[in-house]
Amino acid sequence: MSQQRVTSVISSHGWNSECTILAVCPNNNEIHLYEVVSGENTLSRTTTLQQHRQLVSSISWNRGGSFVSCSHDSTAFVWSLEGDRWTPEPVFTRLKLAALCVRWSPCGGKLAIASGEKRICISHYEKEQKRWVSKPFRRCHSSSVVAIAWHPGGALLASTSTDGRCKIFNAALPGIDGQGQAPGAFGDVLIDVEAGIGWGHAVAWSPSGCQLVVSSHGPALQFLCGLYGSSAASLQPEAAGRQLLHHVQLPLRCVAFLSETSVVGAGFDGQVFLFERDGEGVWSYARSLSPEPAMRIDGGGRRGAISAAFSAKLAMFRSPAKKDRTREQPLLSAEGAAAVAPGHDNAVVDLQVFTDAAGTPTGRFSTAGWDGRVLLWDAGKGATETEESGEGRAEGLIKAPTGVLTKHCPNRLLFDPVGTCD
Amino acid sequence: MTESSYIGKIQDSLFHSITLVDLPCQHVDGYSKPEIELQNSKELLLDPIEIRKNEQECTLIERSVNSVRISVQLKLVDDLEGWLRSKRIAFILERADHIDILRREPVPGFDMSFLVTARHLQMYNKAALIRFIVSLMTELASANDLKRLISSRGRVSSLSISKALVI
Repeated sequence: MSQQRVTSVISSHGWNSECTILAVCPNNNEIHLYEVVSGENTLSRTTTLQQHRQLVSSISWNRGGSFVSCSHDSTAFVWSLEGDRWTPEPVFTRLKLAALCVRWSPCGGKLAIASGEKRICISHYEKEQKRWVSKPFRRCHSSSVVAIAWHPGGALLASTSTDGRCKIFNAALPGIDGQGQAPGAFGDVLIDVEAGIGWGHAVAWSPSGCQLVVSSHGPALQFLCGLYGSSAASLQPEAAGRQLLHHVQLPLRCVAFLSETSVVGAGFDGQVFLFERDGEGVWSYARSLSPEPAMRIDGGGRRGAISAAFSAKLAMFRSPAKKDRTREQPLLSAEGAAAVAPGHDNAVVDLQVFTDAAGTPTGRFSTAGWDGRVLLWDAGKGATETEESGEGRAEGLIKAPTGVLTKHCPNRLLFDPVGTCD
Repeated sequence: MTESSYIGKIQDSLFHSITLVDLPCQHVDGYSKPEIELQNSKELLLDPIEIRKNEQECTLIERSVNSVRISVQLKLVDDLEGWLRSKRIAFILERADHIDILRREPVPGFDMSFLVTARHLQMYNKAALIRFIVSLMTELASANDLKRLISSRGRVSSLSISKALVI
């Protein structure tokens, strides 16, 4: 396991299709590019791209080796490698408020940008004007659109928003996709369902495009099954079988299909959870892929405290000299467990599934979190390697072991101005 | 409700409430403000949670998509304790700049308020944040040492005065 200290908080990340270049936004207006050093499992930082003025909210790569980034300042740029320089090309989004999520269509010719302006726009490259132009949907959500996902066919777009709805739009541009790819005209709402309970967080299509999953704040997952056929024209909204799955974990910030029968999700727990579909088509929670709960509130500490108090009382009867030692031991073990626990110890904000050339998931995926880590996972095995981790900024203070009694955890240190303020 | 179950309930509901997204404002460009303070988008707010231990002591957790406001009301036994507590809280509030999550002005009707935003979650460990809030609450609620000192000092001085009067 190799660890590199690069950044403290990651707000979004994206791998290119060959998994050789990683683009990361360290929670500011920059995009850092890392290249995988072949042979070693390490990353080396190659470029810092500065074009946005505010926080970069989303990054997405296409198969052609260029990527798009969007930012809270409502701008979006398509970055492509010319020679050895990454050159930005602005996308004319016509948005006034923050852009929250951007995704390349599977064919790579279109972009979908979701914004805090309650709108979604579809951008494509206009050859005559030599620039990226946008076309917004007429009717959209009634609140910030936080997540979007392209149907594998490239003609439909699913979105979810903080108004608690999940919608599927016809996003076929006649000039690019041709006619008759999807029912209705461009911008028509084909399906409008509740995202679950509360506002939506994430949305994902299955590899075949038959199923859709929406994560909501409930915490709940909504599965829409039976959207038959990979060709969008045969979509049958009425036949959509719905299943609302409540789960006990904290809400999931990102979800993705690994196959038609398995879904991974990660969120505020800092863990990655696996959901599976049984033979009858019913989804259920399978297990957590993280080896150990990464974040917990005093659960271990409280248990430790009880056992410590209990053993202290026992020791009182035996010999007074043993008392101190028995009280210390559970604390130390809890501290050690928290310190070495692999996985994220803050919320996971971004998840990307790796696909092969045909677009089917390989079972590997990567997650990025607010703890400044990008982790690579192999479904069924847990975290395989840690590519990078948070800077020393907080090591001792913020990453204080979670299972320790309050008395021994210096709360004053938590707000020590040294190192904790920006 | 006993003290430990009250604290446990607060910890649990804080753990589930502090799940925040870094969502910018929906109305003004380049503006990122806690929605719980703005309250201009109803769909971004959740129902507040009120945890009440008894008539006086209660905790109110107001939730929104990118911020959580926690307001605490403490027990008031007598005037002396209330005065001491107001001094302590004033002392802490003066240092609100260093204690990031403390709201400079408590919500009306409460003794102390915290405002946790997504930025704080990025900076601090969530469990440590909750522990800080809870320990500050419990320490303020159970600060009786000074009161005992004042009353014992009053007793000593009254004793010496009465002695002087007798002699």
